[in-house]
Amino acid sequence: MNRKSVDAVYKAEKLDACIKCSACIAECPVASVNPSFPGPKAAGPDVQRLRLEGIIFDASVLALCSNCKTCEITCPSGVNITDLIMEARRKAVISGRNKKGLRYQLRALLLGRAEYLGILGTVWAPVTNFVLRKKTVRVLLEKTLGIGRKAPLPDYHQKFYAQNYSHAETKQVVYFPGCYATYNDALTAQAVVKVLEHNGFSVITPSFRCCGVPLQSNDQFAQAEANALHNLRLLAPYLEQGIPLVASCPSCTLILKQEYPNYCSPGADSIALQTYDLFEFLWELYEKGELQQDFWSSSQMVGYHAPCHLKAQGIGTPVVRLLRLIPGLQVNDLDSVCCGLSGSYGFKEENYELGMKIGEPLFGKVRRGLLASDFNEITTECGTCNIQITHGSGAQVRHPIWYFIEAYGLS
Amino acid sequence: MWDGIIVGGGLAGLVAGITAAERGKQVLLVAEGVGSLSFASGVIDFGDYYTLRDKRRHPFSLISEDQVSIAITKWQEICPFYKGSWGRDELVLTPLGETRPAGYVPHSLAAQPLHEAREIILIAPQGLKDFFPRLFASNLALNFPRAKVTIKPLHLEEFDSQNRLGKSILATDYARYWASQEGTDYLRWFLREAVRELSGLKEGVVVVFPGLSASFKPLVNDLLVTLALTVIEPTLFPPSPVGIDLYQYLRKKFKDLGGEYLISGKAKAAVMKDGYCHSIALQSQGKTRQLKAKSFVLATGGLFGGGIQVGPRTIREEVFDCPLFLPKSWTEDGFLGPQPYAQTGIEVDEDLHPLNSDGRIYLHNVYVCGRTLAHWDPWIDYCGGGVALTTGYLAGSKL
Repeated sequence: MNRKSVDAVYKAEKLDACIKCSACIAECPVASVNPSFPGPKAAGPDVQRLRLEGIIFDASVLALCSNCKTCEITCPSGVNITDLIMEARRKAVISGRNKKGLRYQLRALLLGRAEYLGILGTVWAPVTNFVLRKKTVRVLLEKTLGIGRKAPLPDYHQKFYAQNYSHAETKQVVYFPGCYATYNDALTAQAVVKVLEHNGFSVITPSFRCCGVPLQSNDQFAQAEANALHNLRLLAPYLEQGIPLVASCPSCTLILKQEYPNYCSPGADSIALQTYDLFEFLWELYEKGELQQDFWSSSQMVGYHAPCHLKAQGIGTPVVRLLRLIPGLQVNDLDSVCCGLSGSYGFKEENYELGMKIGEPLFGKVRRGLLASDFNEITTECGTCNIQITHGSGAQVRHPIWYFIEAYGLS
Repeated sequence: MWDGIIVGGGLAGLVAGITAAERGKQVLLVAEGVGSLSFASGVIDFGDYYTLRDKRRHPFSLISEDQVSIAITKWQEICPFYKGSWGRDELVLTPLGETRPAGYVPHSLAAQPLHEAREIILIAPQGLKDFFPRLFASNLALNFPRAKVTIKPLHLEEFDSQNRLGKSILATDYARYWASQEGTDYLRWFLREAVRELSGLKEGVVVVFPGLSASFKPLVNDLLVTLALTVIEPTLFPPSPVGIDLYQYLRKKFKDLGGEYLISGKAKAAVMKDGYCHSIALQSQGKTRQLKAKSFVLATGGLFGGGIQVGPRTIREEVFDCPLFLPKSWTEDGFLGPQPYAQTGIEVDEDLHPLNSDGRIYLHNVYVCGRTLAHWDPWIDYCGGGVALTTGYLAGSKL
């Protein structure tokens, strides 16, 4: 059986695994706030049976899915629900059934291309940030492009430039920073590099393109594929040498592990095996006895929010285990659900309020925890969760790597 | 290296995890999804314990009554809002308004007060999925002939858009609303009005309210206490808010005790040598990681939860490839009667070690609990929760 028919069978099997228990609908963050969304069970396996018979439905309802993957995490039978939904969206775009107005088409182009925005934004970052904070500009953006006026658009900073010093004697690792770290949070990307170097690695950062997640979320599937092939071509020589790939944003890591292996390209066969979430990687070092543990003591009390796309990787929460290695540091796992931003989903005018509703239980937990002094700040690996949590609760949020920078005494 | 790894996140796995974590063990729990508690009623039944205990090789025959007693005490510590006492049945309402005996129930489901009721007000939330008020009310009237039964419809603007779209509303969506401040405020007004409007009596009034999940929601529970109203909830069809709330409650307890909860990973195969398991392999997103532990608990749900996979020619326990007990004949006539295939599972000794067909221990550091065990049928024995609780507790205390 060739790869395509194996996949077809695999997908059909997973579809048949659905026992209609509705646990996915009960947990879906979108369905809980938006009655127009039929829920993962209906949009996914239910309708898929009809789609397999060639019956195509209006794909606009599928656009309500935020691709957070909570349904897949929840499903007791292992059905790949968001795969089914995204595939249906892709087919709808290809068949031209997904006609949106010009406004939203332009918006999709804009929001999908995080790196182009990033390039524009970082050329004159202070000006960009100043302009984007102006109320009249935001109202205009909403009227012309449909980007919610209150949506927490992130600031731009200096672009992250990797310094690829490669020492042949040291161990090597390839680093995929992702668009958020590259254009909006270069300091965090630098911190990741410093921590890896402190642990004896030379860090190589080729000129990656956007991993493709925002492109897919905005129906730019062809561009997402082009980016993936470009990235795989860059990665192939390193993967061939057995060099691991590390990413600091869980959405990038997930797509690298889950979807990049499906492309026909050198590197696709080995990428899943060699891609690590940053803290998954550091934890494996620890298990091998190779993690530097020259930690200074800390008195920090932090609340941890696990991003949806991290949970979907099925590796648990290695960052919590690692943070607990730092003497004195207290970590409180918020045991929370989706923050509601879901990448660019919550930036859209029609989704902004829903996104805030989805995130409200999390914001409430943060506010209560801060008041009760359970923690002083929040930490999470995902850039968009970061800005959404601050937007919804006022808390300060940092990437977890900063605690290691401080504990190692690097600055 | 963990002290213990528990494979399976249902009732048995979570109880094992909480028990082990309380004993100070470093425990990891691995689950493929949210487990079967999300479609369970939240009620823990023991069936006819004394008869089942005397049945050869039934899970209850493996443990002493003392151990059962300790497990129940532990449960009441973990969930102090559960009502029940050994040897005396509680009463619950089924989703159709019938009654059935039960073992340990969340206190908001305890239906005994209905026997003394003079008046029963059945709240009918509009559009509630799989809820049939008139059928429910007529069953109540049959079962409690001394009471006058009235249906009180409940209509919320909050769900207007669903009603307009003709969609049923999940009990979990209603429960989420009741737990909010807005929902609780509405309830305060609504319940007072309902009682005032429909009943002239000062005493003997019982309200039946599907889908509140008050035992798990302090705001709602406090409200009912201040209103001094007797409000009883029936069990519901899945997805049941009580089942989901119980699952989240137990998971939080486990994590608060320091246990790590890893969801979305499928544990398959294992490295086993000389009758000991050294590690299990966790498959997630293209990578397989070896997870090492001193001991393991298998709580994967057997035929029900996917722990035992059945194919056209093969039947296999997926994680440790434990030898399985298979009945000689698979099925019987009588669709709703006892079916032999349900007895399929793993045979164990008194310490819950899986056994070979010759009766010798297959793996010395693995403990099997819950539905995966052989020689019982939760659906005709009515003791699913009881077996999960007691064997889960035993497994957790062995880690």
